[in-house]
Amino acid sequence: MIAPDDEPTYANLKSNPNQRTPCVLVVDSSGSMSMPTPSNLTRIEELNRGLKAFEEALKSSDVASTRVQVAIVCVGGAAPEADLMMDFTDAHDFEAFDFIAGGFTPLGRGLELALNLVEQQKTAYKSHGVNYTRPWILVISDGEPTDNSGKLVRGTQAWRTIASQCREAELARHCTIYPICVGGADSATLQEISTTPIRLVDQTKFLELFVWLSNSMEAISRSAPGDTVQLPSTSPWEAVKL
Amino acid sequence: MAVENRWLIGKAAVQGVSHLAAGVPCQDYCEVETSPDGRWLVAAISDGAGSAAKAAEGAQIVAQSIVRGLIGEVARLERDGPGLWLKDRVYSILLDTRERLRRTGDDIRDYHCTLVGTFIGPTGGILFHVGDGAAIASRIKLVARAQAQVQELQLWNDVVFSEPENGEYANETFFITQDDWIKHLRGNILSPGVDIVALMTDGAMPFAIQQGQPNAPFMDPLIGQMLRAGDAAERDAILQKYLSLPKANEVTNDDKTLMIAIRRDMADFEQFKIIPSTTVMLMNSLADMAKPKDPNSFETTEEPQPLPKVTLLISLLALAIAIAALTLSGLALYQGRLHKPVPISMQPSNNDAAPRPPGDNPRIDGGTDAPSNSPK
Repeated sequence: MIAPDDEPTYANLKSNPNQRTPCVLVVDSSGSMSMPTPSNLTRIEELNRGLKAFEEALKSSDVASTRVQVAIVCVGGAAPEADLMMDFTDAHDFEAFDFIAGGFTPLGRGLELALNLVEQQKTAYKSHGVNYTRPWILVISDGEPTDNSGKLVRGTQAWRTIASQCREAELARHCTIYPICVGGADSATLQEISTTPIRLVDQTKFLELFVWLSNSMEAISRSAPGDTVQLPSTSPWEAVKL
Repeated sequence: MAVENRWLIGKAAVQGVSHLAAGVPCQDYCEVETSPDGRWLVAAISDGAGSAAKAAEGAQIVAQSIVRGLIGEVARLERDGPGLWLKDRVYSILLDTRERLRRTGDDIRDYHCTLVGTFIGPTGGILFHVGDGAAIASRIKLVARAQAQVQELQLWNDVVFSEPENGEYANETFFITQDDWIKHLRGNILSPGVDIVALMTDGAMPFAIQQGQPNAPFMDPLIGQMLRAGDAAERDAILQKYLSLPKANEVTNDDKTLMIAIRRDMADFEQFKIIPSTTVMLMNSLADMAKPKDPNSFETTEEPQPLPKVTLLISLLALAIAIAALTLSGLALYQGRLHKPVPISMQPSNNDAAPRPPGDNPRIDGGTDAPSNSPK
């Protein structure tokens, strides 16, 4: 019973029913990522620095920390198959960790995981009445995709299948796939997974890449209906191909 | 009589933390007008699209145009009740509004904005809607208890809810200013007996609606305070206050615009208390669109008040007699009448020779539902 002096309560309101901006990172931590870069750190060490910067940049923004959600798929590294390292986590709860380089590059499987993750998360959002922006899948790789035993998959039926699934998902606007290659990568094969033009990251500029990613996610998470989102420039991290 | 049917209105537009931080002005516009005797209400909220060059202007022009257009139809709504003619009027006013935006010489897309609104009074009315934001309409039930000195109110009965239409993604919705706007124009005819109408933008939705239901813990005390307020300015201040508190900003960092109109003059009651309602909200307007729904949303349940046994027996006997009488006098009088939302296609009517299906013409009899003992 509400007496005339009673005040409206907020107690039952879901904390943070804000719309979500989901982002999946598909990270190649195969053996080649242990190669040194001109900065004397290895590629994977630079990437780990970048991931930490990603966490800090997201948390420093009120809007990004409440709206952006991050999931991480690891390709290569400890397990022979691709692995879900971190399920979707609100940015303000996200804690960066270190990748360890090693093994092969089962990227096809990693992409499959990412696509499934995105669809599962959308179902979860819908059942909780949470609005969301179009999910991003950011793919970072420095090599050529292989199967679990290290055999190259370029040109195989298996690779063609997953690549076309990725492109179809993009065409159907289920997600945006943003491919990024590191020096030595087979960019032609990687480009097959997306209609977004592949970019080359300067291997000493992972930190700048992840700050750019955080700013981009924030811009998307702020965007209102009718906006065309202007992403920040990629020049702080993009290497010019020779 | 007229005094009791007067609409009491409160509205507030609170800029969201995310817009404050980015220096983006609030681009919502809320326009409200009532007839001189206060019994007829037209209100509209328009939300300008973030990046459209003249979004704020568009929202103002659209909200003002629809309200000014519809307030001229009060006499007709009173005489004829709501019907397809009303839906046609909304459509034609919006066509004129679009033409007016074009005549500025700008691209109409510079004015991108959504629209949610109502035209309502004693004979019923309409909720109209393009894009996001939401509207709810409800009937207040006065609960009579033998020994009570305090009038008890249940606020949420036969609730009609016009949902936001968003497309799949949060940053996509539909505008009155886009090419195929007609496909996204939705409307609900409202039967007589609506006592509460609330219009809101997305940001205010979590406060008013939770789990597909009116959010009583927030709305009931808010409406209680509004009913006790002295004047419109005080009602506005109440809404402004509860949408601006730090606790409110923890819930959302969006702009929050909310208008609540209540058709009751509670000064007639010495004391009143708002008690919980048990009705589940009736969803509508997106029924024919593929969208996941709250599984509870299609039932209406009202639990009877518990009665002592003797009274119950007498009531059952009276009921049996009444049923017999009703059957004889023709059940046709009671078809399709109790505040069922009549989702209507807002496509322009074709005025063709083919007979309309029965559901299209809501019964407009100006009466109240049988078991109510409330003065109207």
